[in-house]
Amino acid sequence: MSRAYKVVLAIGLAASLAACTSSRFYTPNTVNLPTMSQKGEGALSGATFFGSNSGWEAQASYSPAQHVGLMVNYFSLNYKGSIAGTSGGFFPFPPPPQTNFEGRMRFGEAGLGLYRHAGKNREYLLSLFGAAGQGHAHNLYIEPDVPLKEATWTFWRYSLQPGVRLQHRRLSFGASFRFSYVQYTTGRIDARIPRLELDRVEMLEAQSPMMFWEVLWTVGYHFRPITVSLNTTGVALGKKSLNDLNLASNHVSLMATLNLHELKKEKQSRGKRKKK
Amino acid sequence: MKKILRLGLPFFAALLLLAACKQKADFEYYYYEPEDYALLSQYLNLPSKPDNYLTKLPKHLEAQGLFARAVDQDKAILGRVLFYDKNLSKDGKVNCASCHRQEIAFSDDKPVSRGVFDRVGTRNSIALGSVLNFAAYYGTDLFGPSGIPFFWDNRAGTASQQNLATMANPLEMDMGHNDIVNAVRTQPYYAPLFRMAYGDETVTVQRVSESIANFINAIGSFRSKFDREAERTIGNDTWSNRERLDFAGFTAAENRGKRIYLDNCASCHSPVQGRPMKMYANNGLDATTTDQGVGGITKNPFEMGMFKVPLLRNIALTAPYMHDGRFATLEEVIDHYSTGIKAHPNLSMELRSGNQPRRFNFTAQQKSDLIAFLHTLTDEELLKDKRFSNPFK
Ligand code: HEC
Ligand code: HEC
Repeated sequence: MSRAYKVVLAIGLAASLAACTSSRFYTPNTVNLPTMSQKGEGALSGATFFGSNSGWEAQASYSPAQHVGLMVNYFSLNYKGSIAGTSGGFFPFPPPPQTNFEGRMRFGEAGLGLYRHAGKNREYLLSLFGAAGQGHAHNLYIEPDVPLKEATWTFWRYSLQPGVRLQHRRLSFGASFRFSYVQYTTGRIDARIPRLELDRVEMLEAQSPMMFWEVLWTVGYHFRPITVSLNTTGVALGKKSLNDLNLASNHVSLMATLNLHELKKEKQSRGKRKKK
Repeated sequence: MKKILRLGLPFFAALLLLAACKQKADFEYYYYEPEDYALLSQYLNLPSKPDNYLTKLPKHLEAQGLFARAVDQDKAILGRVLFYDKNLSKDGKVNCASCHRQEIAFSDDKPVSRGVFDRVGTRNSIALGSVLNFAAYYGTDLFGPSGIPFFWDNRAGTASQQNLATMANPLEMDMGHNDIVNAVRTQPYYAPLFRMAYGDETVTVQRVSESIANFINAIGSFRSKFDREAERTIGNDTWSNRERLDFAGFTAAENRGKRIYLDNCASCHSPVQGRPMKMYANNGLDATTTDQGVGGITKNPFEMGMFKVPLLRNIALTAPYMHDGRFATLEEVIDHYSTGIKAHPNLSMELRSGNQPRRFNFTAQQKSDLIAFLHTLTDEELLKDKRFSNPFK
């Protein structure tokens, strides 16, 4: 088995083991930590994740000028599960009735930022990006014999993300703290969804706008022109009221990044080789 | 580097500005159809968003296995309207709230209650606000007829049985099953409420009583001064007699009164006002049986003259006292326990010394301390709680 295979296998294993808890109220998208190192460089990434929550992400970044970067991110998440209608229910009392829910969240954002290299061999890439984006969630609550109940809401997120990436041979490591300001704007909620859920939605409404940190860790393996990486982005919350909402979600994604400039170079060098 | 700043700074400034225009979320909740709500609003003050009838009890009560179980909010809303509807009585003047008034913890200030046509009942109304929470306390949804039973003589097993009995009682509302169904059918505001609760407009006596039961099951008293202090001091630990510790927020008199209560009364009435320690007892009101009470139902000679041991929540509001309302004030009650206990043959052990009725012989100081303590059991929030108030315009 080649080394590359082992690494991919390890990443795959890690991805399947990683606990991925997502929240129907807010789940962070994977932080887009830039890889460009000079003007004209860019990357396209796609990610997917599995389990009771599934979905995909697409990210793009490009540097139109030296030290300046642009990015666009899209996040599509499907989730399902069941929730208790009321609290309580320990022995010998019957468990509270459960309601199944199913939902999807879509989120898109665009950002602009700065980057530069550091370190003796330019092995560090420092970046600072700001972004704004909108998310929309659509939830269905499913109980036998009664009509479906719906709840939808929309939020805006403004964020600032300082990040650092370290390239070591074929491996890369990265970390970023994304400071997020999340503002729920509108929502339409059937007030007959399970009462505890309605309480949570009301709490969400009351807590908005909220601010928190999100932390990204990423490990990647590079085979030109593609980087395969395992990313986890988690919400680091301080406020207990937000914890009650289970906003402290953790999102793990397995991502493939196509480095456009390397693709170009690859073609060029292949062309050169052919000529020879 | 300068170029970076020139480009970057205005962008981050703009981002900050965007974020700074703090906007509150504005969610829209829908429940009634607009035309239904318009109709309801002609007769009733109901919020457009349903009230929350779920209850979370404080720790010192949950630790005893008491917790409020599911109440169907749609049925409870219908139940609230039925509870306050005078059309449900023979003379159109009496509703449940006539004898269960919210401002006095859902009790009645008359020794024995008056029903339709001013007919005089036989017993004192029981304060629905005397228990921590109806569903948690009686648990009738779960145990059925073997839960803690209703009424002074424990004759009803479930809240539905109870309220049907009350409506049918000629001394109370005097409405047979058909009368109830007809009375409900003729009121225009019930159609939308039944649709919300049951999916269709069919009125049956079972639905009426189930809805009232859901409303009653949500009523509860657990936000008194006593509860606030008990949650702080006892918390989850109900095993190490922490209720005997002085409560920091109590006055000296209240703490002294609490000790007297724990020593002399808690063995029947419950140390933390959770479940009574005894289901029913004779507390020596009379030397001979005047009202058979539980014995009248069970026909057991050893249960003659025994009555439900009531919880004492909101007791300062629910005068007069005892099943026949014989005592007008708490002072009279304490005097009874102090020196007035009679040697009824079924007098409870706790109130005997040997063969003689026990004499607590409280001093004046002890009496006023005990009364100070009983006042900490009042739950002001329940009295003003909009969810349980009269919805009629
Ligand atoms: C005429 C006065 C009167 C009316 C009207 C009335 N009640 Fe009562 N209620 C009483 C009395 C008196 C008792 C105690 C009776 C007994 O124990 O024999 C009582 C007891 C109860 C109890 C038992 C409480 C316990 O802890 O055991 C419940 C519950 C109750 N009523 C609910 C209702 C409901 C619901 C209605 C309306 C459908 C209603 N009452 C109408 C007088 C009334
Ligand atoms: C043997 C158990 C027992 C003990 C001990 C006991 N009680 Fe009672 N208590 C009862 C019973 C039973 C009733 C209802 C009697 C009736 O109405 O016929 C009652 C009724 C009451 C009531 C009236 C409740 C109402 O809603 O009308 C008050 C107040 C009261 N007790 C206070 C006390 C106090 C204070 C003490 C301690 C000094 C005490 N009790 C000790 C069994 C007990």
